[in-house]
Amino acid sequence: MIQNFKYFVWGSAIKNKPLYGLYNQVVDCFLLVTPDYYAADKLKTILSSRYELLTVELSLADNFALDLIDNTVCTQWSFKEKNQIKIGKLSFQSFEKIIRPKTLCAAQEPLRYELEQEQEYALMCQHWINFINQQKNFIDNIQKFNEFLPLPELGTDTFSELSAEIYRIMYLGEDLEQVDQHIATLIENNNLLFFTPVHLPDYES
Amino acid sequence: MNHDSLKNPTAVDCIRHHSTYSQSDWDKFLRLIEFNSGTPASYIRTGTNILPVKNDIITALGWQIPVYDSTFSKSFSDISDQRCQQLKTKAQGKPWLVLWSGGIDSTVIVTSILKNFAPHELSQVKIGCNKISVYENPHFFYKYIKPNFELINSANLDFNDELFKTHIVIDGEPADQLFVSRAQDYLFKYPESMTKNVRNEPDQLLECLAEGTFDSLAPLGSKWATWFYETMMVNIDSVDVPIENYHDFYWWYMFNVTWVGIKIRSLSCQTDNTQESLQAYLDNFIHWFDTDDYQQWSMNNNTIGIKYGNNIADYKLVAKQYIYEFDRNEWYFKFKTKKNSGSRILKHPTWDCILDDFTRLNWKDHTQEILDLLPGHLV
Repeated sequence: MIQNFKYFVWGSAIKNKPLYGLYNQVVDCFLLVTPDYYAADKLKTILSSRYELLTVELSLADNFALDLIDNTVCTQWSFKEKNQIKIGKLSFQSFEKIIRPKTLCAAQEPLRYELEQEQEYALMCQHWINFINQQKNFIDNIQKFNEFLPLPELGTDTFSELSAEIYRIMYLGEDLEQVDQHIATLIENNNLLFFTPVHLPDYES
Repeated sequence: MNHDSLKNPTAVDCIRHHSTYSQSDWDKFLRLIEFNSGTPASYIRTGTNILPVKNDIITALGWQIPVYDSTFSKSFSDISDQRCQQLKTKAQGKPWLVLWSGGIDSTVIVTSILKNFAPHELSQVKIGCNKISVYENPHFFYKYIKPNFELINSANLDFNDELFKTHIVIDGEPADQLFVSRAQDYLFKYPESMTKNVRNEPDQLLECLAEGTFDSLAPLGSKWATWFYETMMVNIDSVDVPIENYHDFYWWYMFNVTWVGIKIRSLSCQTDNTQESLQAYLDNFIHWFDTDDYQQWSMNNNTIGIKYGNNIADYKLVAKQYIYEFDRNEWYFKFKTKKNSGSRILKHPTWDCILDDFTRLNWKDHTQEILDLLPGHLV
């Protein structure tokens, strides 16, 4: 069950905030949902090495409700206007950055492919995307001092290099455990200072 | 003739004056060009010539569709492997420059090379690609292309005389014409209708044709759709190739009508414009899928589960299977859908008309010459 996965998050809707779903045409369902647009957009790019995902703003649908969709049931959902989306004919051409659905509907069952492993990989990627996002502001502020206090003897790695490497590993990765371990090791061996967040992101509470 | 050029107002006047076609038929022909945007020309390769332009180019250059052989039984996989061997012989030691877009067709080519070249022979092959090629199939690039081949940036590749003197250049055309690509719009919207009978139940097909395609600037309209359908059916009924359903209808249009345009559209990437340059292009720019075997295969395999299915990811299924049997990339096999990927940027052609002796003319410099030739080009 997906909720037993170590990086599982519910992805539930938050009142007065949009909820986004990452939709795949081939299986005709949502791989993941999240109220975090930045994470959704980043995930689309990282997972594009495997398949194309469209960002759908689920909360715009007429029949949307706050407790309707989360990451335990998102693969059971689709939307009625899917055949009307103008899909880019060219590679990476997108007509609409965010799809605005009118009506959510049940996905056809059974799904063309079992998706739990793909969901787990996506959740793992989301975890590391959030990690990078959380650290970024903190490290950017620290690194302002590099201009006039370089201190190479205390490490020269830059955060942008580290985050690029993490994205690359996820983008090209195949095995979840190997990718997760690789990233964890990379961070552990890094000279950068990281902070431990006191509060969890909104969508997990 | 670059048929887009026929939209030039002076060309239209000439056509109106000389052609037996009515103005409304020419309007429909121009909409045909719009329906088929992306290729410079439309010519009938076999069967009744339903277009208002002569198709002497077909016999002059040997571009006919091979005579249909219903007993043809070679598999796509065997043909693709044999193609590699054929080109090794043809190349006679000249290095290959393979244009890889990351899409299905050009990945078939590189797969065939990796399967059929000995490791020490791979140095004879260079891969022309750009960043978007990599993003389209990154696993294949990093596992098989980067470690094995010299890379050439294909983004603005100039097909000049020097290139053709030193290489044979290979691309993945005209694979879409073997498989059908116009149908992808229809397939996406109405997958269950692809197998409807095109003679007895054309209603939904007509609706879809009237809507146009994603490339159309506007819906093409029901009058145009009816004209197009009835015109194509005249040609379809004049050949013995099996064409039964909506998929077959779209495929036959691509296979019979747009094939030639695809073969010559890369001339837009050529900066040398001499007669010798065009001969060099024809001799050294090889379209991998332009063989009699592939064409016979195409005519004999318009079947669900081979070329297409009920899901958009089933498009070019047999080609994806060929790749998957080699690279075992499940994501590419299960999820890859058709995109108009390109290994290079195609520009608008600088020519509007090519003469029998391969001289190229353009409207700006040769208006009167082209206008004088135009009536002879028309039916």
